[in-house]
Amino acid sequence: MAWIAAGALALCLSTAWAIVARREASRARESLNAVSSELSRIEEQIHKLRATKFAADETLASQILLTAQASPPVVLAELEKTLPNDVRLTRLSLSYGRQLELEMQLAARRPEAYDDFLARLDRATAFRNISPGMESREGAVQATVKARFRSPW
Amino acid sequence: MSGSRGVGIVLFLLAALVYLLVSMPARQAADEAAEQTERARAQRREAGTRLAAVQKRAAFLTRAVALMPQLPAGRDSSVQSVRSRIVRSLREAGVSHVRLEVKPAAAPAVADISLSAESSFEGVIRLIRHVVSRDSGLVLERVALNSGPSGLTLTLEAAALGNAP
Repeated sequence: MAWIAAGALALCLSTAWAIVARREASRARESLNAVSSELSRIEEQIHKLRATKFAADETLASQILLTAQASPPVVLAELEKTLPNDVRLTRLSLSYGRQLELEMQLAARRPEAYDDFLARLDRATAFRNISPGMESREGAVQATVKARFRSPW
Repeated sequence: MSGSRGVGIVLFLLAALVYLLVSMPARQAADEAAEQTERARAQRREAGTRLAAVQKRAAFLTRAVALMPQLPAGRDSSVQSVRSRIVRSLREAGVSHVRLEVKPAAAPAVADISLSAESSFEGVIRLIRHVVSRDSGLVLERVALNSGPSGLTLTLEAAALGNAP
């Protein structure tokens, strides 16, 4: 009798384990199918977006957006906020490409005024990648500064 | 006694068979599917990153195309008409010492414009506003402002995009 009971118990346990294992396998397959179909959907979206034709490439698109949203009057207005009274902009050159690159030539009556300008420019959110160039500091300051205007995107 | 032992052994054998023929393959299949799911999840994460980049690029280009300078419908977008519009802007801005070159350009541009002029600060700003207005069809490439004794000198290079197809 003990043999039968032990055998029946082993069979029950084995069957239960088989049921659990099959359920786990089924769940794992369902999960795999769900992830795979989501992956296919994403790949399809990528393919569709890549195949979309636009009337402008990246450089032209940047130029269009920068022309519309960072025109010279806009840049000048932002620069004006950073210019102390004793600093004058003598030349400004703007290069519209993938980014809007600025090159400024400045004249300051006092070196401290130029230093103040650089500090203000550094704090201004409209400008980044500020790179002060050559400066002469004998009394009045003549200096060149390069910067990048913030992207409107 | 030996009969019940036999039945017990048969039950043990059946349990072993169920384990070998059902549980083990199912367990193996579950492990394989779990591994594949993990790989697919990693691929999905990577594809998600690529999708975000592609969507960002598409949104950027869509926004730019929507802002693309366009001439009013029916307006001629030949080099000559681009030149005429710039000349009109120059007249209205009241600038002096004008040097202007408008030459044909490769698509999607209609013409490349090279311009220099002198005026007061206000005159130059007025001219730039004319030049970059949406119906001018111009996109800026390079702009330089030089202050001199007689006012401000503007040097400008732009492309005229004309009517979008």
